[in-house]
Amino acid sequence: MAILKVKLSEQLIIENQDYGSENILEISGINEIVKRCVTVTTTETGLIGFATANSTDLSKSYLAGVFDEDEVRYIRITNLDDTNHISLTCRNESTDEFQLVVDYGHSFFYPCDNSGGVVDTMDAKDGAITTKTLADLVDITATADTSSCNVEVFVGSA
Amino acid sequence: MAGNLKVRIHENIVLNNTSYSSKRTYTKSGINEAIKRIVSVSTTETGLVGFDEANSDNLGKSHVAGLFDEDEVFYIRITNLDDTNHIILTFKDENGVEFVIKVDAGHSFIYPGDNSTGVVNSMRADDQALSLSSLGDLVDITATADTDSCNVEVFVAST
Repeated sequence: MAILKVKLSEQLIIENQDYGSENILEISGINEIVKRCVTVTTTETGLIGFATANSTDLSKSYLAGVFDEDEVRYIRITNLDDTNHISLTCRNESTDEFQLVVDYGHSFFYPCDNSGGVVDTMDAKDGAITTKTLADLVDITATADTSSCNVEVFVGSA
Repeated sequence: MAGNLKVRIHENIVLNNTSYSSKRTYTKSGINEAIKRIVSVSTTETGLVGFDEANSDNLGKSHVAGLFDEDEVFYIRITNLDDTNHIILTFKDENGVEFVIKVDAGHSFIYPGDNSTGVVNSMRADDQALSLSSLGDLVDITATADTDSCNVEVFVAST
């Protein structure tokens, strides 16, 4: 078991005024890590999956692996390309999906629950969400826009 | 004078005597506007940050941390500063579709905008599988605390 320490800092000076900031997140009890660079093509590809512990579902295929849904504590996906953007799609157990553009150089964090992982963490709808009923994240897929992009996936799990 | 925004993400971990640490840096030049603000989010859904066309005169919108020109925003971070409770962030696009995501104590959400068009054509959401077609403009981010009010840090940089 180890402590994952994540330091997120911004440096910015405008008109001689410092707008810099630093935030540190420490997550204890980390037992598994994936740090992997994968190539994402213009065909939608499974990047990371989440299931119950010891899932025997062999029909799923994710480049960076499958994680126990309630033990995942940290997820970062960074677009390493220097020109093109990718799209990430997050899907929950009710097949609700949201999609975001991640341009070159940018990172996407999926903010896991400190005790429940990705269980009951997201919802998406073709309209306003008035009652916020959250469901389990089941996977994150990626699609490159114009040309294949390298992507770094970093996942920490208990 | 405009500045350069440098964002550093540094993960540090050693497992079984092996380092899995990683460092990533994102740099954006020409940053002309920035907001760094701590706001208190209550259990009633509150407008946090809004996005609209330049010089919008839409006074019907109310966002605690302000309104930004949608095609000039290049970095948005929202951090839950609470040490116990989670918040829920809601993202809405110009077509009224929404997604919500839980942000637990200490965690951050970064909205990864486009390097040339900001938050224009940057998101979609549906209660079924999405096909790859046109994305909509992000119009606002709202926040709701779950159990008790939480302090949240909002950091937005714009050209």
